[in-house]
Formats: sequence, structure tokens, C-alpha cells
Amino acid sequence: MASIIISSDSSLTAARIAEKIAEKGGFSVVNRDILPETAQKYDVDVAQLKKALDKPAGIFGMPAKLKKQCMTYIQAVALEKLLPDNIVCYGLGAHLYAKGVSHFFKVRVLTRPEQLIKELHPAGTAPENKAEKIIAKHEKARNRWSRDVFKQDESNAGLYDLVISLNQIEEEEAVKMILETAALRQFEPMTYSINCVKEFLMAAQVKAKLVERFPDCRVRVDGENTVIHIQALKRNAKKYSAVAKEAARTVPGVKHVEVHILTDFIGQAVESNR
Amino acid sequence: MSNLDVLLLDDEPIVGKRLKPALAKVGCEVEVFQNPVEALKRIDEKFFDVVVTDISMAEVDGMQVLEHVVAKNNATKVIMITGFAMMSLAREAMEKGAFDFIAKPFKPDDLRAIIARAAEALGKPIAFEAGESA
Repeated sequence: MASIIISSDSSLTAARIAEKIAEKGGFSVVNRDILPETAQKYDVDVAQLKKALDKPAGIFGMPAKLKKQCMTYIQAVALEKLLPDNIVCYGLGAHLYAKGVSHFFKVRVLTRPEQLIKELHPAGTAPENKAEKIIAKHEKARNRWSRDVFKQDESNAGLYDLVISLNQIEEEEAVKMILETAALRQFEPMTYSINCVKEFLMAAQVKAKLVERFPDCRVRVDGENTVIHIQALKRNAKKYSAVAKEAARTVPGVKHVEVHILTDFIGQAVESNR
Repeated sequence: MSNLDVLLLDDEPIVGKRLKPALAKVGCEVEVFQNPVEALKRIDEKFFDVVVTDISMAEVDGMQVLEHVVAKNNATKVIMITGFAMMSLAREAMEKGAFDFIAKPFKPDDLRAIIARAAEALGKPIAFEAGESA
């Protein structure tokens, strides 16, 4: 069976829809309950992981480097939980990193504005002109959040297999629609899609080993090859390459590791001007 | 335990050359084709339990082979193999009735595992354990 990834402009709506899908379709739920395990595995605070999932990086927010670290750790644990099929996942930003897997059925659920206001505004209601502003501010913050780490706009409909607006559709109907569509043959797991998840997982696990030292590293796993891109000054290339290879090889299943050093031109320019 | 009739179609001769003995080891009777037109002709003549087909081929592609097999007898399990795997292609293959889809390169054991599942689904189990030598 497919696994369903729910994204929404409202975290409460995502949770409600996902729980109903789990109950009616017999799916297992993967959500923020994985955060304590993630925190323990990677030695970070649960509060920091939650902040990374909710707040954009910024001067007054979370430092970008720490956010990247936290999101990498969450990604590594979430993908591990998504290895078996028949899962419904929400609240972990999986719609942004679990891409290109044919048995991941990705759904965006848009909440009714009045419902969203109830969640966002302390009073639970707001005059129409103020409500629009509150929602626009919320959307802007969410877009900043998704662009921060994943360089994608999560409100882009192209990221999803199905987008449902609850404006005219009851939640029960939406759940029925999601379950019926997820049962289509094209969303069934296959050897290729399962291997894709395994490769994403291994890449995330390798990145989790590197991200503290190399926050901008990129990791891709293709079959038995693990390809790492790191930005560094020329004089550090050899040393960093060896460090990255050694760290990557501590991840179970990693065989061949290739490290590509991308020249850090800014750092190089700063250094040559000294 | 009865033999499983398998048709293997790939325009690269090395694929058939490598996989035929690997599948024969787990009790498959394998007929290898490089030309999809000839393969389709053979499919019309004989029932195969499993058809393994490449997707990118000149003249007739793997999707057309899949459609032909499903239209003829949907009891046949069709396994798609490709060096150009992507999500849209995988979904299209499954929607059209493929049993499984695997990206090249793969190990003979990977294909044997899929064929073992297909055999199980057909009620004709074969003796296969992961880790058997190629």
C-alpha cells in the first residue's frame, strides 16, 4: 500500500486528517512523536527540533546552521520510519524531502480561513481585514520556513499529488477522497520506489554525520555510491575530503564514497585579501 | 515444484546473457529476446508466467510490451527494468498493470527476489533465498 504524506497550512488540520486516515485506512502514524528519539540519537533538545520544524531561521529566530542540523536529524529519523509502507506522516516536513518516491502519495490540505484564524489568533476570531493580514503573515512565515532549508515553497501545488481545499469539502469527504486515491495502483510500492527511500535514508544518515562540521554539504546515494559535495578552501580540500569519507563510512551500508570539493570562492577571496 | 516460464526482453545482449543462467538457477525456463517485435510474436504463441522487459527500446518500447501482455492475459506478471528510472515512469508502469519496476543496474539476486514474489503470487513458488550466488 502507499504511504500518505500530509501537508497543510494548519498543523491541527494536518493532524486531524492524518489521524482519521490512520483510523479508517489502517495506516500507522509517523509524526512528531519521533522527536524524543531523534533528540536522543543526535544529542539535541526536543525543543530545538520543534523550533526547527516551526520557525524560520533568522536573526531573532533560530540560527540557520542549527536549523539545518536539526532538520537533517529529523529527516534521517523520519525516513527510517517511512521505510515500511502503509504509513501516514504529518508534521515533519516530509513533503519537502521525501521527493520522487512513487509510493509516497503527497497531499496538501488547505484549511478554512475561519478555522486557521481560530488557531492563529489568541482571541479565536478577528475582523475580516485583520484576519486576512494574520493569514498572509502566517503564509509568509511558512514559505520562509520551507525555503530556508529546502529552497522550496511548500504552498506550490506542483509538490503534491492532490490538493484539497476544505472550503467546500467536509473533512470526512476529504479523508475518503485521499484513501480512494491512495489505493490506486500507481501509488503501490515497488522495488524501485523502496530502493529510492533506502537511498534517501542513507543520504540523510550520512548528512547527519557531516552537517555539524559541513552545514552546506550535499549528499546523494546512487546504488552503492555515496556522493558528497562540500564547500571548502583549496588548502583544506584534502583534509576535509578525508574527514567526510571517514564519517560517511561509519553509516551502516555505505560502500563507495566520493567526495567533491566545491571551492569556497568567498572564503578564498577573503583569504587572498589578507 | 514446477518450472516458471520467463520471457526476458532487453535490446542489450549482455543483459540476457547474464540473467538467463541466474534465473535458470532458481528453476526458471528462460527465453531471451533482444528484438521486441519477435518477443511480442512469441508472447502471442505461448503463455509466459513472467515477462521481464526493458523499457527503452527502438520500434516497440517496454510500455507497449506491457500493454500487449496485459491485454492478452493479465495473469502474466510483467517486471519492468530500466536504466532511466523516474517516478512518473514507475507510476505509469504500475498503473498499466506491471507487477514490479526496478532500476538498472541491479544484482541478479534483486531480480530473482522479484521473480520469487511473482511465482508466489501465481501459486508456483520457486526455491530462492537471498544471497544465492549469481
